[in-house]
Amino acid sequence: MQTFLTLLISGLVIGGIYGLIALGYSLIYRASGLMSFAQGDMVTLGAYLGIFYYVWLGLPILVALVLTFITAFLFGMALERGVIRTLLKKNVIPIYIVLATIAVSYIIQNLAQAVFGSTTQWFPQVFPVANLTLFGVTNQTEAYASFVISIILMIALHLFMTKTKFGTAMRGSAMDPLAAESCGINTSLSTGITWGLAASIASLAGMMLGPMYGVFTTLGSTIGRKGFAGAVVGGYGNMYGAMIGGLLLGLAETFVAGYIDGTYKNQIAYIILIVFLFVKPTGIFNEKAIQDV
Amino acid sequence: MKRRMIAILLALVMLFGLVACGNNGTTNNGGTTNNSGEGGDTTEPEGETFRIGTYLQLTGSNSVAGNSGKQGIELAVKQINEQGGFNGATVVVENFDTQGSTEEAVKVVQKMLSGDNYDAIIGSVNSNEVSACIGYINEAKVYNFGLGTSATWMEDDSMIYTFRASCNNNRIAPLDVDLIKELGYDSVAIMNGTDDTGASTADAFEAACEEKGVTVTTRQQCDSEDTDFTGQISQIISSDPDCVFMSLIGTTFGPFVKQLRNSGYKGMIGCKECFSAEYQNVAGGSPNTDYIFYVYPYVAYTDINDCEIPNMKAFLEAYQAEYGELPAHESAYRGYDTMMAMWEASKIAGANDDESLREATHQVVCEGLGGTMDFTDGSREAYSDFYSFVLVGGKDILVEDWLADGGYEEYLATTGRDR
Repeated sequence: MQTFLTLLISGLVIGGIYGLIALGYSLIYRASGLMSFAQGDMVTLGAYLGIFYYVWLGLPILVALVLTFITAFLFGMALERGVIRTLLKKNVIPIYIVLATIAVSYIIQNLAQAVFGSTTQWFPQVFPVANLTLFGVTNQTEAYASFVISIILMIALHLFMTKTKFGTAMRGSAMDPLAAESCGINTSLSTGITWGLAASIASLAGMMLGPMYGVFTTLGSTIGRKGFAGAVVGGYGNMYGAMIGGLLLGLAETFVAGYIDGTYKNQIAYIILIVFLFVKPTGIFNEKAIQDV
Repeated sequence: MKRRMIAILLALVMLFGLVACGNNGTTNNGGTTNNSGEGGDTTEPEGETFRIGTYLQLTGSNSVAGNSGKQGIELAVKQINEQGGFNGATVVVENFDTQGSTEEAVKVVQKMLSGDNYDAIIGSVNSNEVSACIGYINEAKVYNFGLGTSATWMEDDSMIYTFRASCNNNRIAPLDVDLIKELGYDSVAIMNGTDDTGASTADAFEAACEEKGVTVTTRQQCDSEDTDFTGQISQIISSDPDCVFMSLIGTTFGPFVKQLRNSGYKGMIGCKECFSAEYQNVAGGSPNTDYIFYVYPYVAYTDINDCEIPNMKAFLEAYQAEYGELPAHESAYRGYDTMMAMWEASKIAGANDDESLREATHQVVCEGLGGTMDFTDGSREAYSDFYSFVLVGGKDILVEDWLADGGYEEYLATTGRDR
């Protein structure tokens, strides 16, 4: 029972992180119908920004968290304005956009290395208590915090998208840009904000991962791929599906490693992805982004 | 237009903000660094030269090892050139970045070989890259050394132009088991990476356990980019081993130890190599990193004053003077030892051609940073004797001293364990 609880809690923690990243993929898809493969690197960017604000500048953790959120938001918007929109205006085919995001991914990794070096950076613990024991399971305090923050962010985003005027405008812009424009909605701004939000959510995930795993240039690569798989499993483009998909993958890989063999831990996430693509490409939430034909 | 300008300005402000506040982790000293085999702008010294090409991972997640190796090589080259070089020829090093990719390593090595511009080649700290490349280098009959520690690429006796001046993990693995027995343990759980070095070292360790009567309670594996090990740790703890042995790579060491300690495991942890300062930081430092033991030629010093080995101390002082810091990874020692072994061979040979250097290397016996480097047994390997250390309070203590000073009893009292 103790092992089960340990695996369950750890699966939820890592699944919450996957869910946050998946949320970014889905937001971008909903807003612009595009895929960004730089989403995992936004996690890396967030972790390094966290080091910059929290460790180098010595700011309080909450201030560092807010500044990381804002900086990543601006970066996401700049990416949309400076790269994505420029390409869209040239009427390039969508694959060029995907390639551009892959290029941005490498730029972030190499820029991070140029600035912070190739050694794994130490991110000090942010809570005075290193470990917490819940239901008999001892885990790093940051791990529990990351799960709580993931849930809070998911609820906040849900409220923002459904209860606020701006969130409604964003959803409207994503569903039918022309109709939204005719209603006076600034679709250009809302798309930019969506990219900014996706980046800032991922950056918070990165900042939470830092104290747990250390910060290195490819921190977000593997986790980003898992997040993508989570988004597809949940229903690509569906925010709730993203979170559920992420949690499902986190639990699946943790239980496989705990009860079967750690060798299969990474494979299981992609096996689930393939199975869903074959059997239910619209994902758990039946999102029509990838339709079965 | 105005909005676009604002967007560009924002991007530039962030970019310059990051760059202005940052530090550059790569110091180029005495060598030229190339990405993906592009030609460099090496300033050619006057007179005869001895050109060495290196293929190292200088970017990516495990690049700290490659960059440290590069700095160790370049420091040795500087010292060698100050003392007359290789038989009067100035040593010139040109570094190529493999980016941690075996394919890229093969590509840059083939590029080095195609121009016939290099007198010797030094290979990656990543053994899978060395394994992929030495076939081509030996076919071209070019004198070469590898920096990786896996046994696999030295098993082929036909690779007669390839040498190693660091260590072979398969020679260490049985000594790790001896140490486990010396501590009075009967069982061990293994956690290994699926990379070449991680897996082959764990294989050798498991075989030695079987031979020496130590029970392996479970063997768990992870990928080199994994960050969460909860599942594997659950299996390790439920198998109730006397101690844990880890054969991992780069970024996985720190998080694994941290998560293992967080899960409540207080016992001793064996490591296939020395547990560097970088790993210790990520693992959370002492007490998480206390009671990690290893058998290895090198120690990752964090303070020069901790070092009591004269030639190692001299190296550390020179390294700090050159780069303003101590080595971030012990591969700096491997790079330095490699160059010194090559230099010694050049002195014995009295000539710098591949055949003379190859034959002379078999006669090399000299003091390295990890003890005596002795190539005379025909194995093309330098080290066969190693030190045993235990990490306590951030200090690497010789196991014999630790045991003699009552360290083990203190460990039992501190952790509340019975073994």
